[in-house]
Amino acid sequence: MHGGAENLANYLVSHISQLGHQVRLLRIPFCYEPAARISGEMLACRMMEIEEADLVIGLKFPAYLIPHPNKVLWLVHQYRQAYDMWDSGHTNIPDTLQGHALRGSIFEADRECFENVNDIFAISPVTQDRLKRYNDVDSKLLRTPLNGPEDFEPGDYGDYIFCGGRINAIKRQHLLIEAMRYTRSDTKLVIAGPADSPADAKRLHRLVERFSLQSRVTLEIGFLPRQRIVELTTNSLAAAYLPIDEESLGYVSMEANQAARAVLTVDDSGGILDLVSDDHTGWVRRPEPKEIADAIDRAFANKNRTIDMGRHARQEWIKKEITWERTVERLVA
Amino acid sequence: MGANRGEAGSMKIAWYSPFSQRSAIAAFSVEVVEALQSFGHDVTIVRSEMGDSSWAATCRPASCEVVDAEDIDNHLNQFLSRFDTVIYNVGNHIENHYYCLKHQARFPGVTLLHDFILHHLLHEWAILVEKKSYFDLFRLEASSEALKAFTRASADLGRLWFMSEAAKHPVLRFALADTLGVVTHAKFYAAPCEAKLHCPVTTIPLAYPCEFEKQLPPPQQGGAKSRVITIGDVNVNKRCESVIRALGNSARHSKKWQYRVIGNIGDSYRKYLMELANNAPHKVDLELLGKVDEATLQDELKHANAISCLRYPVVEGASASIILSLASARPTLVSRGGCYDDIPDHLVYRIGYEREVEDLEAAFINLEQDYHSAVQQGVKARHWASNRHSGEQYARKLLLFLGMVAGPSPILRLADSVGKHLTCWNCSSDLPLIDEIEGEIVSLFGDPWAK
Repeated sequence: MHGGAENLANYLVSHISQLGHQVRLLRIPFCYEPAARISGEMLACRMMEIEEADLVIGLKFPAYLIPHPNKVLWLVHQYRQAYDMWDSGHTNIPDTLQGHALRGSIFEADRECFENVNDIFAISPVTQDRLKRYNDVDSKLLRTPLNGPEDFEPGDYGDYIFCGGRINAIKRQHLLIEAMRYTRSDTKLVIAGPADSPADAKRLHRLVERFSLQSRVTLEIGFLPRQRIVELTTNSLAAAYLPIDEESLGYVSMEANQAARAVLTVDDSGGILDLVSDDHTGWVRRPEPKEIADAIDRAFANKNRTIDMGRHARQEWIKKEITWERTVERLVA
Repeated sequence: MGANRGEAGSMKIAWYSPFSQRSAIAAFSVEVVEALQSFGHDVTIVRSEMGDSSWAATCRPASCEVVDAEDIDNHLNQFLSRFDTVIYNVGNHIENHYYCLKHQARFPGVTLLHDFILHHLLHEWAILVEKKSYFDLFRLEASSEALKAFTRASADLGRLWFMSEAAKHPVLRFALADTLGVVTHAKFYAAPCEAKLHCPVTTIPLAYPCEFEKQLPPPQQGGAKSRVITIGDVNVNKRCESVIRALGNSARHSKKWQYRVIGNIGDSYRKYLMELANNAPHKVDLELLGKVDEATLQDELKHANAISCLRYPVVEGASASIILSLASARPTLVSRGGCYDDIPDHLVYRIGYEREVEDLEAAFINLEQDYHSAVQQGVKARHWASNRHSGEQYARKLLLFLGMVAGPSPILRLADSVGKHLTCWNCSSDLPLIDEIEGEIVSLFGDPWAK
């Protein structure tokens, strides 16, 4: 699986290297199914030794368990299924004695790790809150910068809303399609990105057919070259991103803001809400198709206003100074 | 730890030990270190005493470099990484062995375990280092039965616990959990060490210098009076009372023998023993010499006709005084049990605890009736002890053991590390992962736990 965190790691390595440091990316395979394997995966990381490095930066569970006397965490993921997703019932850890023991072990391993690092940065306030709530650990906010921002210079505004990124139920592209059936006839939507499973792709195709939206909704499902993503972003009218309680700002929304595109999102999408201000840099609606449809209609009804909101979004984004230079500076300080 | 070079190549050995003039373990260390050097190995002695500011003044002369453990504490790994193997001498006093425990936990090596009963050490470790109660640390290692025994003995810990019950409930893991292998100096505590520590264990008889004793001419029949002596700190464990009773029960014995006790003794116990001797059915000629210098001790040995080396319970890993006694060719009375069981019966007069006074009386009769045979027996014992307790013998056997430990030690350290992490994460011992890891280790490297 290659996702945002993996891209983040690649860009981090590249930018640390640009500052003249010698840097290596250590990828640790992690298989969390079945849950009984997790202890072994944790142990494998805990018992690794990195002797030649002056600094280790840990990103994800369980890789961040690798010991080192000078370690900082840039926390992308804890094992959420032991924390908030356990509480919400979305976990692969069984509610058995063994499951509770495993969850306790994950807590203990995290505790031991957090106690022995020099600094903890978190990629989002959501991550920070979770860390504080479950582990009683304070952290510093260090958002993920946009990768290759120079690619996303604003281009001409087009006639479609673009929704990029991985396709799955948690990203809720289906909500946008369901909304499109309630929108005016001149609206268009482009959904593009890799589906997590054939079922995820099929589901979107079926919805498009079911609501007869073939002429207004375009699906480009699969791994797309970066250039294609850049084209779709920089030629759009606006962007949409509706994940369920995502921790980060989301690359889709950051790229859109860099490209001066307003972003449509919903009020339970998590980190992105720090980026989207309703009616200023985009639209924030409840995750209901009709409410989302209303926002889409507004985007097309007053395109000049939409373009203005996109420009505001870019200004606000640049003001945040979430750049790789600043990020690396803090991590290797 | 690097690969063992046995006797074929030179090893660099760090040898942790107390090294003051007064330490018997230091005397042992000198014997073995010199033997190791004579085999071509490069040894550095690391002094293990706690906070001994006058250590340089009290340091024994050494044939190799001597460093203070406190001086390497801040760069331990860097210092010890230079060595092929690290040896830790562990005994029952924190002042002498503090850095053995502290550094062994950080840089595991092979332990030479001088005492089976480490309750004093645990007691001192709890108070001085862990700042916890002895009870709490003891509970971590012992059974509920042991806790009850401790509670029953709490009214007189010195006599009822440390000198008696503690022997039944050994505590080892607090001090030796990280050891790569253990050398015991008697067979009786090898099995408990294996059971508690799950590491390679071997028994090598203690090496001890006894050049003076070996040169002593065999004893002659005493004139009007013969001397039986006891050496060492005087307490109930040395069984002086029984010797006094045995002599005092018989007009013949009391007339024939003078009992001389050489070693530090408290005032109340001195008074008690003197009263016991004076009030015996037949007054016993008892001399309590207290602590003496080396020359006096040698003189006492020279003029002794028999030596009483009794203990109950037998809690020592080895006894320097029994080695000196046997090397001196003096007829020697020894208890049953513990390290004394390693001595062949035909070399000593065996005294059982249950019939201690009667056995002593019988031994005195034998000595009186046929002292010539007793001396011949003593001479045989000298030969046996001189070979068995030499530094050279010890070094040879230790090198063989280091070779045995060096092979599986990385695997055992791996297993130990797994155990530590899983314990830290509160994983239960029935976690299937543990069996999986054991299976993988055996599959990849063979069974490191096999003898």
